[in-house]
Amino acid sequence: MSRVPLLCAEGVAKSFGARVACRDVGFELHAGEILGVVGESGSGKTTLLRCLAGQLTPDAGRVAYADRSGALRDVFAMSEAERRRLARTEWGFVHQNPRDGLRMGISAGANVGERLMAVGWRHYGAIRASALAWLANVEIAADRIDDLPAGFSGGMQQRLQIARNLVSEPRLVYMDEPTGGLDVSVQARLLDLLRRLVQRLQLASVVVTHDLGVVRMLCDRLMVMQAGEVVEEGLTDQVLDDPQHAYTQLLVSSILPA
Amino acid sequence: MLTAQALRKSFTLHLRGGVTLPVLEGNDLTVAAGECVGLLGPSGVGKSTLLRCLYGNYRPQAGRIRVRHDGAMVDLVGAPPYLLLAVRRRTIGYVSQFLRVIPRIGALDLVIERALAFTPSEEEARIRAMTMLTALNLPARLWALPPATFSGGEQQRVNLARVLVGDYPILLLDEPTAALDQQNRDAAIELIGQRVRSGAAAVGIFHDADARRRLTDRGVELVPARETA
Repeated sequence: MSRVPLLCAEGVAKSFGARVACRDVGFELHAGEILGVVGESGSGKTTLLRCLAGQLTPDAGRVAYADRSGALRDVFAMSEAERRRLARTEWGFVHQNPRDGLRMGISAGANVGERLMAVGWRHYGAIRASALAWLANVEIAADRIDDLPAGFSGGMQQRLQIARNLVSEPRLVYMDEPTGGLDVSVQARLLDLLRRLVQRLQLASVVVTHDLGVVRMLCDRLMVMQAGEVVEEGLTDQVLDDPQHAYTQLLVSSILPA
Repeated sequence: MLTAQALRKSFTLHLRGGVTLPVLEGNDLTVAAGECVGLLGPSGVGKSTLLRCLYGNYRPQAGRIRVRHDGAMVDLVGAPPYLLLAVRRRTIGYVSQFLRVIPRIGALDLVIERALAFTPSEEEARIRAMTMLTALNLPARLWALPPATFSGGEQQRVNLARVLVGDYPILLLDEPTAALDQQNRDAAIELIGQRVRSGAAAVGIFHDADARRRLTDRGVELVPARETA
C-alpha cells in the first residue's frame, strides 16, 4: 500500500452568505479506501463532496489529487478543462437522484457508451459490447439496452447510473446518498452490488450518507459531521463501537444493533 | 511481537450526563512469538477492552501498542487508517466473542476473503478455506449459506476459520471456544495450539479452564480500575 494518498484535503471551508456549510475539513484518502461521511441533513456533507469533486470552489483550503502519474496536484489550481478531464477519466460521481446523473432522453446503452466516447472511444461495436458487459455487471438485462431509463424502476436507474460512472474505469468515485430514496430490499441489492464492484475494481470512494447501514456495508473509514465540522473520525468499527463525541454517541444509540 | 505500555482507556457517556467509566489505567503487556498469554480477572475488569484496544477497535486515551508488522515495529495508537487496515489484513487476527460479518455472504466466501491476504491465488485461497472449515467440522452443506441463520457454535467456527485460515503472526482470542461443544472445542484448541507452536504470539481470554490449561503459557491478572469522582 503506497504512502502517497490519492486525495488530500486540507482546511476545506465553504459558506453560502453568512451560513457556514463546512469548515476546516481535512483528510487523506489512499487508493482503494472507502471513506464514509455521515451526519444529519444540513451538516455540510454534500457541500463537502461537491468541493472535493471540483464542482464547487471552496472559500479556503486545498484539495489535491494524485493522478496516474503519481504527483499530487491542486484541483483548483488546474484549468477548467483539466478539471473536466479529471472528472471524466479518473473520477465518477453518483448522485442520489439518478435523474441528475443520467441523460433521460437517450437509451440505457447510450448512457453508458457516452462516457466511453468522452474518453475517446470511437468504434461502435466495441462501445456497444462494453455497454452490454456493464449492464450485465449491474444486473440489467441485455434486452433493455435500447430502452430509455425513464421506463426503469428507481433501483434500475441507480444501477444504470453506477454503470455509466464505472465504465470508464475511474480510480475515485464520489457518491451522494447512493441508496437514498430506494426501498429497503432494493437498497440491500444495490449495496451488495456496490460492495462487489468497489472490491473488484479496487476503487477509492467518498460516500456521503446518513444511513449507518450503508457505512457498515461499504466503508473502511468514517467521518462524522455536525454543523459543518468534522467532530469524529476513524475506522468504521472504531467510530461505531467506541463513539467518543456526544453527537456520534447519539447517532450510534439511535440505530438497532447489527 | 507485541508490546502494550501504559494503556489508559475510559468511556465517557455524553448521553448519560457525561459519566466517565475508567477501565484500563496504565496497563502493560508483552507477548513474544510462540507464546500464548491468558488475560485473567473477574468480569468487567477490562479483558475484552484490552483485546479490542490491541486490535485498534477501541481507541485508548494514552499509551503505546507496538506490534511487528512487515518486519518493523509500528505503534497502533494514533496510526493512520491505511496502516491499521494493513496490520489487520496481514498481521493481527482477532477472534471476537461473536461473529460479526457483512450480511448475505456465504460462509466459505467469508473465509476465502481472509485467505486472499496470504496468497495471490484464488484457487489456493479456496482450498485453504475449505481445509480450515473441514478441520473445524463445519458441515459442507452450510458453506454456501450466510452465517446469519447458523447456531452460535457454527457461527463461532466460521469466526475461528476466518482467523486460522491466515498466517497471522499475532492472534487475539476473545473466548474463542466458549460457544463450542466438547468435540469442536478440541479441534479448535488443537488448531490454535498449532499456530502458537509455529511461532504466532497469542493473547486470549479463556474462561474455559480446559482451553486455558492446554493453550496458555502464563496468565496476566487485570485489576479493576479505581472509580474516580
